[in-house]
Amino acid sequence: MSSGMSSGMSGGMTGRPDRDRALEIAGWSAVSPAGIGSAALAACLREHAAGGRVTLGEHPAVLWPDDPLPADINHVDTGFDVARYVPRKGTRAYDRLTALSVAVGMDSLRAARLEVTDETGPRVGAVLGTTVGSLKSTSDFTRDTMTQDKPYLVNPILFPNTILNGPAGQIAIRFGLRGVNATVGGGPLAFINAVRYASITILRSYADAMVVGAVEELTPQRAWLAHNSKEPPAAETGGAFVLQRPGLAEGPVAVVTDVSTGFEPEYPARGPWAALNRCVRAVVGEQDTAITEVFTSEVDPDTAEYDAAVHALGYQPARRTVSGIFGSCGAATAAMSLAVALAEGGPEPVLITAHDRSGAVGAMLVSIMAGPC
Amino acid sequence: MSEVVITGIGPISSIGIGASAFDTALRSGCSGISRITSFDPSGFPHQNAGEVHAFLPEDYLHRIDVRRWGRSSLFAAAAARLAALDAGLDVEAVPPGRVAAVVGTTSGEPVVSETLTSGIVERGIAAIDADISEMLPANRLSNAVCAELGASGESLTIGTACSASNYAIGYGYDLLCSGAADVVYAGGADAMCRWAHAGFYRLGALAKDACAPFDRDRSGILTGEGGAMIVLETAEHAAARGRRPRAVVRGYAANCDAKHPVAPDAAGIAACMRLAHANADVTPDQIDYICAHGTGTPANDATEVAAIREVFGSTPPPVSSIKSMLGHTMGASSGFGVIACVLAINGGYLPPTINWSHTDDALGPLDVVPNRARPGVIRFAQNDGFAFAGNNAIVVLAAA
Repeated sequence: MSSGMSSGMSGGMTGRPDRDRALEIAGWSAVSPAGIGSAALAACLREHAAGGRVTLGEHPAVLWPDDPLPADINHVDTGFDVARYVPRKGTRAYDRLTALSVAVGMDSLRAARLEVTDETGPRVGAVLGTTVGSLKSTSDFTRDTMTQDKPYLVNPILFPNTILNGPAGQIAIRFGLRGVNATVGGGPLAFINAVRYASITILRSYADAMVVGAVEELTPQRAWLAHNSKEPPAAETGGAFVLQRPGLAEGPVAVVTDVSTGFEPEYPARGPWAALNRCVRAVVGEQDTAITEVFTSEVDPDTAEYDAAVHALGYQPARRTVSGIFGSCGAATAAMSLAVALAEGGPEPVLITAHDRSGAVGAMLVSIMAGPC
Repeated sequence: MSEVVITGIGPISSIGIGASAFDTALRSGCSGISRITSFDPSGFPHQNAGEVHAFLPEDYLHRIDVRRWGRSSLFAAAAARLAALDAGLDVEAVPPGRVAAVVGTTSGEPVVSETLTSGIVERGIAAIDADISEMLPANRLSNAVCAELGASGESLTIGTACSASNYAIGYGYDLLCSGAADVVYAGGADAMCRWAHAGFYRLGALAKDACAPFDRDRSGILTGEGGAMIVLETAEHAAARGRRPRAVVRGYAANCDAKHPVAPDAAGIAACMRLAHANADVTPDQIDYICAHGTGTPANDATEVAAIREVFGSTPPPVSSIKSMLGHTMGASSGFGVIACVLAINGGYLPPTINWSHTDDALGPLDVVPNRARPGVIRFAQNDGFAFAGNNAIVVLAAA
């Protein structure tokens, strides 16, 4: 590891309450229609700022020649090739979600200057957030069992892609991350759940660093699901962030001050807003520097999540939504919120909120040290 | 610091629903295996599984609308209800913000996914059903528990495949240790699905008639389903309401082989065992029983036993696999393992590995508690969970 880190901690905790829950972000990367990396993301943001839709990337029809696609579909990086990030051997069975996850995971480790060795590997983990994993992989595999001459004529090499933890597992395999490796659900809340999981894992000393991310591939399945749900067009986006205990990173780019999640049991009769209010107040706490921006997971014209945040804060920061920039980001929503905030640079703290469609909510407060990309 | 204890257990399984029925079934070495009915198995050469036949969600669930949740979510919520009952927990009496739900799963809502795919096959991909897809997201499983039990703390579904319940119980343990919650419903749930049956068959990992872990002629898993949830509390919280715990969670560990997407790695598994012992502050000689991952595949059982020998030396404790009775319940499996360990600790017995006929000399001398449960004092139990993606997690339990 590039900075001093003890590798011998057994991880047993004495159970003292964690008063200081901050984690540092040592480095990060993103998936956007312009490609992998913070520079590609910055290019998308410049295009959006200049007025209108992000059109960088190409029409994805070339990737899915056998399937119809909605007329209103987002662009993706059709030239994306995972072999630019890892040796091609062993990637043949990757679905697009796995390939994007491995690529952005690798780029975040590079950005964090985190060298994983045999000695430090057991203390470096990963946690990814998802909605349903790869809907395409699961659906295609299931379709084969329904339509082939025999129901068992499925391709066993693709079986791991049907299971939620495939991408997180490949990140570990590729980069020797032998620490805690997890996959969590949550839909638009998934990345906040992942940060929460990483926070507990690191602060209770099970790991010293975690690659924390969330990615969504743009496939015909996701494209049509967004279309038929009357959501903005599905986007291919994602982020990966190397989180560490404070003091380990040389010059962290940001600090995740706190993260809180909750649930509204009366949802949908009662919106999840009381629960979100509590989460926001929990992470903002004694914060005295005014928060200038709130990134929410909602889609215009819905502002209920923002209103709940404002109610908790007692003032009105600027409202930002990644759905307004990229479209439906799914599990990558809060990851893109963080990526956009990082790309734009500090110094004021930003609040990131999200909710899923059955009543779960969450919020995280991030202080950004680095300037704009 | 307050210990973390288990005060209630809620199994919904092919061998019994509820603590008492499950306990009786474990003690008698019951098999929950039957011919598959949840989908048409006739095209498969292997047609058996551990289905839960007698599950009527309306019998357990009063708050959520059972028509709007998938089978795995219903398993999780109903199992949590049973665990709360077993714990004698007055659900209304705990402040909702101090109650969390953590559920492990392999497939999330596979029946919903299959329905969605049937629609694609029949009507084309452009007609993909948005309404049904509302029930699909993995986090629905823990959300169902929160919605049913009126909890407003954290709701987390952990998708780490066949070790996921151990992850969930470990995370619940961490929430309680760090003061983030007073009560956590933790465990796992999964539902039968045709694609998993097909996938395991095609991998050569599916047995035909019975699952025979550690047997010389073992030939693989049988798929299964169910919900296995427990109530975790701090010892303080349990004592304050006058509830005697069933068992103590001493600690856990999770790590990653980082080697192969499906094959287990003995070094990674042994490392996980050592970490779990260190975190639980126990030594190998203190472990009285290992509830194995024990899937019944040649590879898993050999690898798991190799890791056990590496850590425990030449005299490991008894090791048995309840997958011999339940089949492989996927994300719920290590949750059933914890429940079995709790009942074994409480009842002073070792659950059996049924379907056992011949020693596998390649495994070396091993007490697999063949076919019949037998009395045994268990002070410390180790519950193993391994998975695709090298996602290993082990929980160590102690008598209260």
